[in-house]
Amino acid sequence: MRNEEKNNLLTINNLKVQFHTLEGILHAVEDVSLTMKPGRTMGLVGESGCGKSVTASSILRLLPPKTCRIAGGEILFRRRDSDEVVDLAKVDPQGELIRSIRGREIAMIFQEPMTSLSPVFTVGNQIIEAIMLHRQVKPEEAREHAVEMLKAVALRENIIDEYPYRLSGGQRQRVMTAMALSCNPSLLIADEPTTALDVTIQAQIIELLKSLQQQLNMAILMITHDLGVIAEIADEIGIMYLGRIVESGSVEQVFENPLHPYTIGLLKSIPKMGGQTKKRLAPIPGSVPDPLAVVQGCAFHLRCPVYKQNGCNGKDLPSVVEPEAGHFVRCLLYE
Amino acid sequence: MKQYEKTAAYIKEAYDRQNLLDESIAHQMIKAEKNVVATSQWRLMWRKYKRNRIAVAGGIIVLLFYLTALFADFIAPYGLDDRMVQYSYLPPQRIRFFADGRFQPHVLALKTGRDPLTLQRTYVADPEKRIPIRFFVKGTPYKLMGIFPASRHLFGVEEGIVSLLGTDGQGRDMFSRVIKGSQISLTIGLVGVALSLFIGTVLGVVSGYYGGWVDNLVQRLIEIVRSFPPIPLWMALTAALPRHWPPLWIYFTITVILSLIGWTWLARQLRGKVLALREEDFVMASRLAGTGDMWIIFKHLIPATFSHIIVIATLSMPSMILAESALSFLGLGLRPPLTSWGVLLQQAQNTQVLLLYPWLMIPGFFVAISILAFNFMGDGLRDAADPYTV
Amino acid sequence: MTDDNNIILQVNNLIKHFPIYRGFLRRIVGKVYAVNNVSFSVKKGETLGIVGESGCGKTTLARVILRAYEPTGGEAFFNWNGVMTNIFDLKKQELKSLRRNIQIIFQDPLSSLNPRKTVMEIISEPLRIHKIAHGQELKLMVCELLELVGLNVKHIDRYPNAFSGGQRQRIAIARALALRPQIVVCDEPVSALDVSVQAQIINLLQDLQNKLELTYLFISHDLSVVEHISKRVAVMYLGSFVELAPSVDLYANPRHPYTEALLSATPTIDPATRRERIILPGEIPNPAQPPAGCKFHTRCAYADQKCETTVPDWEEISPQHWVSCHRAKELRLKGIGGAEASGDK
Repeated sequence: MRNEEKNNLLTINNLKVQFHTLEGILHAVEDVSLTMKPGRTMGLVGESGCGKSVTASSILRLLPPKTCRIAGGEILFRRRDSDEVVDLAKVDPQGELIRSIRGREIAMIFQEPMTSLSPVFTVGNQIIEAIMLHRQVKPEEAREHAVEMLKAVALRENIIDEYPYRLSGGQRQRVMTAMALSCNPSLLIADEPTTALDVTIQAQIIELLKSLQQQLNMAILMITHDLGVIAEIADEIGIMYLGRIVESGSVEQVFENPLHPYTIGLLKSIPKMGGQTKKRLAPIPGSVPDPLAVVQGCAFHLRCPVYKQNGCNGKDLPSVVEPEAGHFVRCLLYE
Repeated sequence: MKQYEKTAAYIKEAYDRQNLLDESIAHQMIKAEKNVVATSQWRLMWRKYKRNRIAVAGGIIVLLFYLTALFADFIAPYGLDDRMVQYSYLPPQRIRFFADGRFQPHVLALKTGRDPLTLQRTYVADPEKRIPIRFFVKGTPYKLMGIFPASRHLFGVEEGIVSLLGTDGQGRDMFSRVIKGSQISLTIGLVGVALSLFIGTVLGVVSGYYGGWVDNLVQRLIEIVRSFPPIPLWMALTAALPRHWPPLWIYFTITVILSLIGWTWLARQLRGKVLALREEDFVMASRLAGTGDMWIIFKHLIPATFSHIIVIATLSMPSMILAESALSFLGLGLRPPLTSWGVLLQQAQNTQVLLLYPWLMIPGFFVAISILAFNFMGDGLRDAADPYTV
Repeated sequence: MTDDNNIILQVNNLIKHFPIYRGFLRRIVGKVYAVNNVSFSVKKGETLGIVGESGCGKTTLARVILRAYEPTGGEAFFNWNGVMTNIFDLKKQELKSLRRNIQIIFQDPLSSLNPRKTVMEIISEPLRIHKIAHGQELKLMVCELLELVGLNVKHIDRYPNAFSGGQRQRIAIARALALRPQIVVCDEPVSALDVSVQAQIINLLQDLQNKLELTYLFISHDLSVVEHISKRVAVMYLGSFVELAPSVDLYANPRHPYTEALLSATPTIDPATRRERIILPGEIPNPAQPPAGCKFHTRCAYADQKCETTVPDWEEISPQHWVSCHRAKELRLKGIGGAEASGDK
């Protein structure tokens, strides 16, 4: 066990994140634990409001400090140079330490790249600035490196002098990726990177991320609501519902042998392509409850078709069990 | 088959079994969104406004000002033109609330003298002689709100004088005059804003909704109106008013003149808002259901801009009040016998008077307070205005 | 197209170009070629799916048919009580009564429902405009509609912000159905919804179609949803249809390279249908400056010289299967599902 932990790049244990809103405390992340290894891709999937993005942002401590608080748990990250393990949940979100990690060791790309690129500077300027922020290099070297990065994401070299608004959505996402990877991070967090893109462009970006990962041996934490995208790119996957991971395992395990009623429902909700028998879909009833509402017991019991009167809505949360090696589920039926 | 595979198969089956447009779904939905409260736009706005302390304070002050204006004749101890010549240029009196350890508001009687050097009148309070302030005393008769004849005042004295803010050169009580003046100063803004709201809403909505050449025309018109320097324009317009007109006519003409310039701002703001709303799907949905332009404008666009109209109205009050004060101060606006804060300030035009009788500047203080209050209130409303954008 | 009585909508050579204005005098400096020469017909009670990527003109196409935008050219005949009537010739009053027959459901229920109106006001609006009912009768009709789409009648006086995304879309559906239309244009009706809710709405749309004999024009970028709900599917690229076929046929035997690429690019959870990906190079060209010849040739792996110069015809390559590609007959393209089996046919 110890030996295994040594290889982990990132370990999140029982993370709890709360938002203090005027209407009350919002438990965005209730209890999330996951581990990530170098060169592997972990996918976090869930519907809106399940806390997947909050989990991702809390790793880099990008959450609004006034309203949001990490209420418990730890985020253990192994530094690249010193091999030292730091708990990102405890560091000062504005401090020196996290700033030296952001961008350099953990980078992030977002759904809408336009909001994270400045409209008044050229693409080159922004990449060069990112490089020079973290590395002691001359501007000429930084520019050379920026060109290399743009080539790596399959963009033409002359894009370096373009302004972001002149680029298409796919090109912007590539620029974002080039910028994020310019400092060779050991972990890339991708928050819905393809959601705003068309299928053909989405396919380009997925291929790009896959090949870059192989070259750079980085870990990718992929956040998305799209099960298809996850199936294409991830090695491990965690299904989130209302702030908790309800099922996790390797992609093959979860997709071929889903266990949790929520996962099963999600998979049943997606129409299968090329399926010539057009069977009626069997969706999950109802909708995600109001995030401020506190649901007793298993949070999914309100929508669960196999919900048991006693137990599922009880005081105690179902515990996590491991019916097959590496495949975890949090459901009373498997206890 | 292993146990967990059996369980998974059981769950899959359960999904296939359930019938969809089934009652149970509707029930689950209610259960799931128990916490959601149906809230109208105004309730959301009020909730947000309440949180802004300064805005609430501003709102309370504005409310108090208007209540005072409404009951001005009752609150003021003297009539507008009650002259007490023996007390001309009396400085504000100090009100003492306790006498002999009991609560008994009173002022001290005054002995009049004359400064031997400047020959100005001096007033010396006589600590021996207290004049108690009585509530609901009989005084100058008036008509409350112009309708109900009455003669009781909120407070007053039976002998001597009570003058919270001093008197002017003719011995008229400044407090009473300021309060009466607020009637005109505050309503001229209201009427003026109402008028410019009307012009601004019509032109702004039409310009934003129809676009094209209509929009072009209205926008150019706004630019032309705005390119005139306002003060000379007002001066020219008011100078053209016939001197013999009755005061009421002058009052209304001035509001019209003020709003002729004030509408441009509102029109611009509303045009922008309507331009954005016009592209919303709900407008398209309504049009594709067969509605006409008028229906869309009156049922969808104007209600949607309502909160903005209110905000803009509140925020344009100060400029109206200021404009009136400025015009009247310069002698171009209202003239006695009409009394507004601007008219009152005319007395404070020369430095000599200001040095000797600084309390004559007090109406300016009221102008400032009312403007600040309106601005605070407007800012709060603006922050609360669009509860759906958050 | 043998049974003409069954056709409810017939679109011929529909064209829509948007002028681009510049400068103070609003001079026309160019055109966006949003929809070019699109022709198709829809049978009563069927669902025609239209897929394409953003900017391909699918939404514009729908809105021109609804006369939300005025067409630049072409005709659209609606079977109005047995008479084929050109929608584009209708005068204002006739258009208003046509609107009772063709309605629309939008993508984002958050923006398609006026946040300042209650459910009652929203759903009853079309009924009030057409003076179909008022007072108590109106309320009863709205209640019926709410029940039809699976909403609780008790929520009739709530505002849209008190509902979840799926419920809001149900309200929008109820509004669209208020006038008992024959054709409903569904413009990405499930794209803004969560996966689990998306399936509920798809089921609801199918149930309503069976119950009310509706005809759907179902626009989406999601190939799996379109396949699931549509009987026939049209693929649109840069303002034109490139392929139109019964959905089973289209997905298994695509005849246009763009369709093949789309199918291959769509991520799938089903390992059985996962295959070698065709990655289309480059981006969709700007619709204001479309390439000459076949519009897809800039990204097409099979393009030859003819494709660069000549616009391919829109032809029926096999019964019911329309395609616009010079090389459609010679190419063997990969579909999904039964592709291997039927590939050699």
